[in-house]
Amino acid sequence: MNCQEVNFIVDARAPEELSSAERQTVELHLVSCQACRDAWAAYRELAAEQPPKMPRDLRLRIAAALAARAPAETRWPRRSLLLGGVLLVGAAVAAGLALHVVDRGPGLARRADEAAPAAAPALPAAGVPAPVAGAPVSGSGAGDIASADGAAVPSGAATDRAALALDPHSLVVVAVPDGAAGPRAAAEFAQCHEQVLQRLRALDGLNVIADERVSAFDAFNLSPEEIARELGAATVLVVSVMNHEPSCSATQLDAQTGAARAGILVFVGPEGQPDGWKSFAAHVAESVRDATFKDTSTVVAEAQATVLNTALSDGERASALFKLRQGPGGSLAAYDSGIVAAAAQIATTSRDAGAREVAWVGLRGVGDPSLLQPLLHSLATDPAENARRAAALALAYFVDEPGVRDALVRAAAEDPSDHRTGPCCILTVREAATRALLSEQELRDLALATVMNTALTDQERLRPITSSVDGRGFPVPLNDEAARAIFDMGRRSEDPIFRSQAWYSLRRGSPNPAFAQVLLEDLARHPEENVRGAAAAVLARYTDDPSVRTGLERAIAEDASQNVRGNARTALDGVDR
Amino acid sequence: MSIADAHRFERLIEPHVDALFRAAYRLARHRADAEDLVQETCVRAYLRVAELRESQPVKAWLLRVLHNVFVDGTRRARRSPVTAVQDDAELASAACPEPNPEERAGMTQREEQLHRAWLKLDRGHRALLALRAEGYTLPEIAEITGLPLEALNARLYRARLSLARSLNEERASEPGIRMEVAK
Repeated sequence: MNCQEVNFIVDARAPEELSSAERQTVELHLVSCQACRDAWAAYRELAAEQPPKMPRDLRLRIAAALAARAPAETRWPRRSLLLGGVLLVGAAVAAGLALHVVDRGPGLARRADEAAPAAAPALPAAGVPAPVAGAPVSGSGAGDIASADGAAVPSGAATDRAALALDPHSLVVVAVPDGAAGPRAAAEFAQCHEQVLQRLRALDGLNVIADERVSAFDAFNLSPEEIARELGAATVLVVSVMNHEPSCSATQLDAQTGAARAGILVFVGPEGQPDGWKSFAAHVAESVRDATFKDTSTVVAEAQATVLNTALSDGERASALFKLRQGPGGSLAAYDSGIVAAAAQIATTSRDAGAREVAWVGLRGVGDPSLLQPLLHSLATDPAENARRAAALALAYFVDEPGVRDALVRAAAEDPSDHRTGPCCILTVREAATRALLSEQELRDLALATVMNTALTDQERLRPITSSVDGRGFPVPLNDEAARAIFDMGRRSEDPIFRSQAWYSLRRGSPNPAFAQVLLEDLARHPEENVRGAAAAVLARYTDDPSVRTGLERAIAEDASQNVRGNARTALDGVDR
Repeated sequence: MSIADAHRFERLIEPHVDALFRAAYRLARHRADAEDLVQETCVRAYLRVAELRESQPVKAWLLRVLHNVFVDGTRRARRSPVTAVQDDAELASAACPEPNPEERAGMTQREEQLHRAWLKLDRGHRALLALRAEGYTLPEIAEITGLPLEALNARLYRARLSLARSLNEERASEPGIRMEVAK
């Protein structure tokens, strides 16, 4: 009996159903066959994991998605499908601040009727202010809860704020883009914003006011709580993204008093942004639904307690370190020495390699001299490459201390791992140690020299230009020679990811008219939207050329990809040139 | 779609949402993705409910839709970086769909390695292993995936081998784990 036949027996029947002859056959086979033993061991490990309980709001999300898809002539029987979910949410929000389970159909319809014609404008009567360029514009929400908000016209109502009755069931969502937003940041931010709105709109009984109705106020320099008051909402949620970290935050403000009643800070991580946004959005919506927003000081206090609680798992404690880094000080150095000591304890003694890594990443930039020896020890001896890599990068901040250079040189030359997995998928431990040794200028020189080294693969040549993941990844301005080399590599690459990386990198050099034609070709004809999107973004620097403007306009009108159209529009609008 | 179809859909789907979520989580191994999978499954199923015959087992039909949504995701995943990623370092990392540091910190090293090994498998193999791990029998999986039983058996066998191979590769790169295994 061969492996496959034995596997079929095991798969097809429960153990108790096997005859003694079959059982013996299986056992004998497994004793003699290492491959099958490994296969079943791996599978058993997989099967032993149990899915979590289904989130309570998933039924609501489904109902909202179905309602949005329902043809206009079909009234989806939404309330009955929602019933189970509504009851659950209702229980959760009995003491809630923003939610309220209501027979919302007629209620919202009434308010929609009232909203538009309501009040005399208190804002400058310059007509309807246009949304400001760069402000996030996500789905219009046709068919969803927000569509009940009425026309996207700021009423400018609040002439007598003391007398204004603010709706406790309305939530205004204000998006605050990163200050240094370019096309990339704007696109990421729009994604995050959209995810948050999608989740919030799935919550029953919550009147979500967002998008155009909010961005229409951008021209008036109002605070978020003032915008909420203008829109008659008692609460405002401010969502912002810090791309450099990168992290998201959401803060809930009382529209009447401006008091920040809540704050959520989430570290998204340098990789897997789409997942990061989803997790963040889910977290925000759950916090709104369950009224569990906490103010920043509470979040920080809880995170501190978590870090210090040795009864918790090292993974939980290490995660809490990120929340502390997002706190007022921005670094673990802002907290008392107990926190740093706890982080160092996790980094040096945890059996959980992920926790060790996260702890060292959290401690990066903390100049406490007591960390030096543990870092050196970790770099030299930690069996997990991720932890050694994190230690190497943290040692960059101690590079002038005795022994550090020698240790980093040794790691740069001898570390056994050359895997590029880990926190950023980009650096090996040896590369991390090398980077830690170099000054900012030396890193830049190295990157440019690597680009020009034709003995390397194109991937290797481009990598130092594109990686900025170690906290020391300084942007490398390209000289003309390097830009030309990158252009040539991009042009000959058939890998769409590489080609788009190369195009994005060109923005670090001076515009070269010789590049524009190839970029235009890619924008018009490349089959991969990644590449077309990158070409559109880079062509922002060539819009003085009429043919480039024409190409971008055509992409805006015709490209099948929303993202490419968005990049082209941003390029044409002159953002981030 | 008629109102009758909409009511029928509601009646049919409601009892199976939990099972869909469990299977989706096994497939995605990520909560938010599992939720998206279930939502997309329901939307697709809703649009096609008229095709469902009265005699057809609803759960298997829904799981088949889920399976197709998941397997179709291969194309979407390949094309996804532009949707979220507009720049270089992120583009590079988008090719490596790992859990973020917070999630990673909550995993043990073994779980993290299993997760990475899982992501290396093709989606077809992942689907078979997930459904089997969730307790569906071979005939049920054959119904869900549309595979003939014999082909299913062969592929399930290869899926387990692939998982073991990926897991061994992951663990071979971590001396710490080799030591743990040796104990």
